[in-house]
Amino acid sequence: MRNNRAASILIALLAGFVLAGPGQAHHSFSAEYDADKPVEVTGTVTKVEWANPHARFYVDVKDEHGNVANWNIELGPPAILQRLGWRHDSLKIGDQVTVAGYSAKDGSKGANAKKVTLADGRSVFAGSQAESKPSQ
Amino acid sequence: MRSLAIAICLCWCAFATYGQTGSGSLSGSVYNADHAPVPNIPVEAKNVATGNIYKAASSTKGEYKFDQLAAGTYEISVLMILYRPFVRKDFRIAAGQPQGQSQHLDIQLSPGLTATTLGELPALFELFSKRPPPPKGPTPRTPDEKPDLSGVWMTPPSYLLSAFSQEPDLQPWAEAIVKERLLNEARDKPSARCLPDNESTEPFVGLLPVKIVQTRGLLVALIEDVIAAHQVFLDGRSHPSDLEPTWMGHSVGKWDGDTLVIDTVGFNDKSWIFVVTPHTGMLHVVTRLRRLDLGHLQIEATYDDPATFNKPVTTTVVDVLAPDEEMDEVVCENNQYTEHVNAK
Repeated sequence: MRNNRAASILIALLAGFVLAGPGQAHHSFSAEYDADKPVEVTGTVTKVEWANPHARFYVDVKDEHGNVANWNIELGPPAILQRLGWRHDSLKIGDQVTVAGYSAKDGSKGANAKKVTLADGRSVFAGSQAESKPSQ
Repeated sequence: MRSLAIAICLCWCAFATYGQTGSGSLSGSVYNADHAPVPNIPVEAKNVATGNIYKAASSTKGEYKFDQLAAGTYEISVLMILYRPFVRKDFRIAAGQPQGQSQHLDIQLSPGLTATTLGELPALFELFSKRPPPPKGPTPRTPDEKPDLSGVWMTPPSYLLSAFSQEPDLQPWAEAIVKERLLNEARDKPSARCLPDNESTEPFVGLLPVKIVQTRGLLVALIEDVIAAHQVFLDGRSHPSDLEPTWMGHSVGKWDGDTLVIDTVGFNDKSWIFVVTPHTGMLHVVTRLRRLDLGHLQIEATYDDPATFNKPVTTTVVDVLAPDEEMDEVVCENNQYTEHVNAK
């Protein structure tokens, strides 16, 4: 049974579901974010918090009426992001970014980032830093 | 001829009565988000009126079946670490289903506590896919010919998943807590408040590296995640008789051939093991460390807590040496999780 379960885990991984056991997350993703509510926002970075257990940055997002709201975007642990080559200044205040992620369950302007894309199309914090900057 | 007709009639009546009992059956398929069948999934049917719980498991084809459920209202659920909770309330099992027919409920599972974030395990998988293989060579030894376990060690994410997805045979009180934690998707886990998680009982296994420093009389695990360090005394001392409970307990180790056997007691009851499993202060962990070669450290941990488990649980992980790595400072300083969740 255990072997079969381990096999099913690997199958799930191969199928593209990367599971984050809550056991090794620094909190429970599903308790805070809603995997059924994807969200995409575009705006200007106002602040970056490169701190454990999860890095965060904040983005001013303007709606269709011109109202600006500051979104709190959560990333992974700096301890791992740093090992992939990312640094606290990989994203800078004033950068224009598009964030695709999952909405906070509490209805606040918050999201867990799945993909962060700069205005020039480069992705930030996904994959290794070296691969994401081929032109440099 | 007339008696034959009566006999046939009686047989038919008996058959019809047999087919309309006060119970029914339930069957269906368990599949994932890609509609692929998922085997070995425990499915529970709880009779709302009686509280009786019936258990089934999906077959290799992902099919499950409950036979002879008493007619009534049921809650059908799948609660597992690897998947988000599936709960179907108020499912009616009707009596008198024709023989051989069963009510149907398919169960679609979605990835549990998904790693959609740009970090955590997805990043760890990314990291491991790019890391060089561990160095090859024989097990290094100390001047007194003991295996030297020193080095920076990292746990491959596949081992993390297998080690922490244990579903031990639990006593009812613990099983109830596990269900509650699975249902609320571990919202109250200690690390939500920057407190230790699994590293409490598994100091050599983790999302982040562990550095072992070994001397003749002391082994120290420097842990990058949340807890800074743990000592294992190798100087022959015993556990103190007046131990105050702590998150990581008190560890003493001795060599059994080339295996370092670490005995740990004195835990508090605050940490969660195997992601969502509670334990008591009676928890006793025996960890066997064996450096298989230069690049691999096998960690076999047996958990025994007679107040929680019906039988001990053993996990096995093989860490890999990461000579290019060094410990980062990890101070849990900005966990905003609690305020988010509590704001709901």
